[in-house]
Order: sequence, then structure tokens, then C-alpha cells
Amino acid sequence: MKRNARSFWLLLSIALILPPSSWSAQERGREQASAAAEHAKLQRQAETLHLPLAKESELRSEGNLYGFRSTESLFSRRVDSRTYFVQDLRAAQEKELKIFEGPNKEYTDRLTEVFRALEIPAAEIAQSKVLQEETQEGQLDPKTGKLVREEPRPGKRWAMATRQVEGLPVFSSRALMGLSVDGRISFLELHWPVISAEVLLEAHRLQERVRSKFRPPALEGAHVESVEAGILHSPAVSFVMDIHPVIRVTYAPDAKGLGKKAVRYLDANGREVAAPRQFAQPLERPPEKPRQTPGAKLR
Amino acid sequence: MTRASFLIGFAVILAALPLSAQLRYSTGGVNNYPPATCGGPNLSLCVPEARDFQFWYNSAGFHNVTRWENGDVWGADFRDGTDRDPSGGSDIPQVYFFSGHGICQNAPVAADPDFLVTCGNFGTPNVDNIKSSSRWGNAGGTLQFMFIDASCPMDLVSLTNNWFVPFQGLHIATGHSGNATHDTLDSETRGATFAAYTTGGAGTIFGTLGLLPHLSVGDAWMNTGLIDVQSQVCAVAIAAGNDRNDAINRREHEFVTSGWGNPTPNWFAWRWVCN
Repeated sequence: MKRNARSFWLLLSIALILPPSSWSAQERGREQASAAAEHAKLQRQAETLHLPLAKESELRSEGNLYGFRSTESLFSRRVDSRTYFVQDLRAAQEKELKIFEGPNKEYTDRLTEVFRALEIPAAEIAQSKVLQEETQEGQLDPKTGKLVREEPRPGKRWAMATRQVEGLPVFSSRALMGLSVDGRISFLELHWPVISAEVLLEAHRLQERVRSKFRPPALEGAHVESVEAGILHSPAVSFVMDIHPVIRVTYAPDAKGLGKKAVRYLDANGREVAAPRQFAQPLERPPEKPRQTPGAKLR
Repeated sequence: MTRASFLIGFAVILAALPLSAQLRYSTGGVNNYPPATCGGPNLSLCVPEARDFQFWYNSAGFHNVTRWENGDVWGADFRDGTDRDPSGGSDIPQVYFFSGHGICQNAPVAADPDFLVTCGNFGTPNVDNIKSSSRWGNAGGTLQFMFIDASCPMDLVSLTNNWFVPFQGLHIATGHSGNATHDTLDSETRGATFAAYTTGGAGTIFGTLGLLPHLSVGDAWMNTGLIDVQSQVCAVAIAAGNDRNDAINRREHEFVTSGWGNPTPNWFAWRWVCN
């Protein structure tokens, strides 16, 4: 009887243990299939973007990032966000500054292609423009001590897009793309996380609040320059993805001069919203002891 | 003989260490600018921005020299003669990242100075005129990269009047050009992303996999300097060089980890991009 009871409990234990282990095998299988699908998808996207890495490169994956890297190019994306990075690694080996000569329209067209290839809704582009870098050089004249300047020359260009969803600005999203001399993407940061319906709904509420009678808090030494409801989220290079509906208040300084405008991100009650996190762990604390003053001579 | 062998061996090991393990950096982040004493208004994101910068640079194995905040960042830290104070001078490390207020003119002209502004509990005055008081890399100073996130410290119209004198061994400086109505916004993301790209995420999962772009200082600032800025604001990077090609090469290709020697500032090359 005792042996029977022992056998019963043993079988029950096995019965309880086995299904989870077989489930985890299934889970593992599903995960592998999912990873393979993601791998294939990323390869297809790389091919569509004319990135020369699909055949020779293995998919690397760790944390919230996965992608390919070859001697010529890197292409990666975040697991937890619709965020992509591309870099043409040939450019780093070039000593001369070579610039893509095509028209601006080619930049904006290519950026639209990128959105299509990565299945990102281009309709969410609020503004798309081409930023033109300028470069200049100058030689110090040892006799006069003045700098003798050469004429400025056009440098690299960048296609940049900002974002709106349902008329709401998404302050932290952006697309920035450069092209190499042969038209290949030299750099891409496309940070366009999916915004949930709940966040959009709350952001619309905040928008109504701003339109009705929202009074932003006063900030000593500054006055309100603009108030706008929108969406704030963690940056492209971060380990977590927080997304907050917010009211952004920008303040212009009262006193003549002090630059860098103060900004506050608020909820419907005018309380500050915690900044979206970038890191999973808290950062190192600042020094606890105040700085030692060396003496009175500097006072 | 044994001691000599040990010392030689030690020297070889030191030389073989990656530069990243030896690079020294400091940060200064200032949020508190009480209007009554420091002009105001208070900012809120400069201190977090400096801490984020530290995260990326610490992860890369760089040695943090100082990381003062608010009143512990002094105007004296950026003035020649006191900028080598071991407790926080900007000419002690090789990289210094400052985030705080600057001063923007309404319509800057070529003769206008550039500034960075602190609100120190010591080492006043708080307002530093960069041309007249800042010199980096001289008299034993070691600063190679000065990163200023303080609104208008590099107005293009006055750049060549203000910014060649501070280069006394300094390699590259970055900042913004703007005016009182077209200014940078207080931002945590700008400096953090700049730090991430200048290190390539080294020491983090991003760097381990090599899946994050790793950019030269000039490229990183062109890519991140326009985050959270108003229209017509420009991100500016200026490099010194022994000759024209050297200055251009540094402007385009120098990384914080390049380990290049100090230039004799005969030539300058700068680049900018405007929103």
C-alpha cells in the first residue's frame, strides 16, 4: 500500500513535471521558428535596402538588439521598438570626403523607400526635409593673429523626417539618413516605435485640455513660449522603451540672454511626467560630498 | 635586473592597453540657475543628460575624472589659469562634456562673444567669455575634446573670432549656433545619443555585438546636435590641425578613441548643419 502510494505520488509528480518540459520544448521550437522568420525578414529588408551583408553575415542577437554586421555594413534593429540602424562601414576607411551628388529629391525618395521596406507608415511623416551640411577651413595668419577663411563648401546631406500620429507630434521619433557617394545608405537612425491606442487616446485628451483652459505652471525667470500636446518616448539608443502622452511647455527666458530654453513635460494636471527611461538599471549616483573649495583666492 | 625587467614588462602592458581604458573624461551638468543670483530659469534635464553621458563613457571603460553637478560646477573650471584645478578643471581630462545655460544674442554679429554659464558655489564669475578666458591644452592642460551643450556657444557669424584662440592643443570642440528666438531646448536625449555614438556603445550589448553605429566626433555631433532644437539652430563642430588636410581629417574622421597627438593649431576646419 505504501509502495502504491509512493508510486502514485511519483507518477503524479512526473505528470506534473513532464508537460511543462514538453511545453518548453515546444516553446523553444516556436522561438527558433520565430527567430528564423525574423532572420529571414531582416535579410529581405537588407536586400531591399541594397545593403551588402545578407549572404555573408550571421544574425547576431543579444538584449534588445539584433542584426547583421559585415566588413562593409551594419544593419540592426531593436526587439522592443521599431528602431533601425544602418551604417556603411566602408566610409570609415575613406580618407577623402566623398559626397553623394544626386539631387535632394533622391534623398527624400530614398527615405520613403526605406519606410516602405521596413513597413513603417510613411503617412506618419510630419515633415521631411534635406539638411545640407556646410564645411569651411581657415588658416591662422601668424603676423596678424587672425584667421584667413576660405569659402564655405557644401558638405554631406541628411534626409530627416519628423513624426505625427493622428495630428499629434511624436517629439522623440525621427528618421535621419545619409547616402554614400555611390548612393548606398551611409547612415540611418529610424526610430519610430509603435504607439498604442491607449497612449493616442490620452494624448488626444491632453490636446483637448491644451485647447480648452490648460494653464501651464509658471517658471521663475521665464515665460511660456509654447504649449503642445504630443507623445514622448525613450530615445533610439536605449535599453528600454517608455512611451508617455504629455503636454510639452517651452519657456523663453525673461532675462536678456540666458540661452537654452527650459522645457517641462506635464500631465493633464500640470504635474511633471517622469522622463522616459533609457537604462534598465538606475545610473550611478552623483558625488555625495560637496566639492571642496581650494581657498579664498578664487572667490 | 629583475626590477628593470618588471618595469619594462609593466610598460609594455600599459602600452598594449586599449586607449579606451586610458581615456579620461569629466562632465559638468547644471540645472540650478536661480533667477535672483544666476539669471534663471532653472533647467531640469542638464544633470540627467550629463549622467547619461557618464553611463556611455563609463561603459566604454573610460576613466571618469570628475562629474560635478549644479553649484559644484564652477566658472573657474573653464578659465585659463584655474582650469587645471584637479578637483574639477576642464583642462584636466581629455574629454569634457558641459550641459547648462549659455547666452544667445538677439542677432549675433561677428564681434559678439560666445559664452558658457555656470551657477557655482565657488569660483565665480559664473559667466565665461570663451575667447577671452578659455584656453585648452596649454600649460600642461590635456583637454582634447570640448563638448558644450549650452545653446549658443558657437555662433557661426563670430566663430573665427572666438574659437581659434582657445585651441592650444585641443583637437575638436562642438556646440550650437543660434539666437534668442532660435535656440536649443533643454534635452536629455541629445547628449546621451551623442555619447552613445561617439563610443559605439562599447562595453554594452550594443558595442559587444557591433550593432550600433560608431561615429567620429564630427559625424556624431552632426547626427545628434539637432535633437530638440528650434528651427534655424545649427550644430557646429570645429577642429584644429597642423595643416589644412590635418584639420579636415580631424573634423571628419577623429574619434575620441583615435589617440591622435595634439595638433599645432595652424589651420582650422569646421562643419555645421542647421535645422
